[in-house]
Amino acid sequence: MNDDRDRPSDRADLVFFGRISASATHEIKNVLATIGQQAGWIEDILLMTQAEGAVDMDRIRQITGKIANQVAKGDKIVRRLNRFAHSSDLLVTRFDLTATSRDLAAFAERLVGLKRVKFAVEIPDSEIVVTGDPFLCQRTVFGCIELLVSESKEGSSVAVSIADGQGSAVLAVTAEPFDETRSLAAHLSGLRALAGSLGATLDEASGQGRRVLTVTFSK
Amino acid sequence: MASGTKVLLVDDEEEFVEALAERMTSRGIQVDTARDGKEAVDKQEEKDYDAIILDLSMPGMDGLETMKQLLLKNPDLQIILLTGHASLEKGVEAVKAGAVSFLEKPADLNKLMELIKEAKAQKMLLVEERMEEKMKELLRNRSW
Repeated sequence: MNDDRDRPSDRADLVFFGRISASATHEIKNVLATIGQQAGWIEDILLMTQAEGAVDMDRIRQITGKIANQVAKGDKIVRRLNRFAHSSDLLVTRFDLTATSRDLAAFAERLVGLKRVKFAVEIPDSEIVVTGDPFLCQRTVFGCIELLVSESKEGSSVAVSIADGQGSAVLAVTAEPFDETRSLAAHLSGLRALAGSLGATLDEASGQGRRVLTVTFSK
Repeated sequence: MASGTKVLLVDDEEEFVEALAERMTSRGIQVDTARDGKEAVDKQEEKDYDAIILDLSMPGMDGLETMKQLLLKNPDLQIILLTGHASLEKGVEAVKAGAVSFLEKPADLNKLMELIKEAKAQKMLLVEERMEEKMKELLRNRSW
């Protein structure tokens, strides 16, 4: 594993950082747009009330509740984005694979949705601490999700799961149904090298109409 | 805004659509909503809208692809594109593909209402032009 803090960021690191940031800021923009319309909605009701008399308090309360929900949603996205931005602070550190993967899956959800592929996240609540570069870990996992999603047909499913072992933790990305004859070799070489650079291994398995990419992290 | 203006609002952000539709309705607009491109194409076949407001980023068929399909069925449609992040390239691409306007979120409702008004006027103009063409053709065929 590379312990050099001066590892130069390559173009692919920046592209990945850019894609996640762009997706997150898009989500934030939607939250702000919704809050803007909801605030305008209240303003409209108050203007109408000036003409009609009584204020419909239940309606106002309902809309302010919706605004509070949007603020909470926006806060969640910003916190996630902040954790992601800090994931490149240390090249080698001990980090919680479940929390990091949960964040990444949340970022990936919108991008997967745009492709009309169902997305399931089966990550345990318990902490699984591994050693490595959390930024590269996210790039690897995102690469696996993106590859299987791009090769899946509309309506298929992609799931992310994590299993805890004694000296290792295994993260699996499973796509089904998936054409068993489809070769991913050309795409997997880059991802394998990426996994290798963080001290993990990437394997591919196929059968029963599924394709599974597993990333094994040492603890 | 003349009452009876018919608008189709297409966006997968449920609460954004709900609030915007309520506000437009209180301004006398008849608003229908669709959550994705496919639903928009289906609804457009059932009703003649004065304007269609379309989100650029949607699951499945995105805004640009939806717009192309809608215009294929009815080239006179007045489509206003909405987007989270407007860029000059996206704007140019949208207008080239046939959008009448391109608006960045969070959209100002007054601006949107102006665009809907312009879209309706433009649509009426196109309808008049089509009628005039038909009349001329009819007269030519009858050799009057």
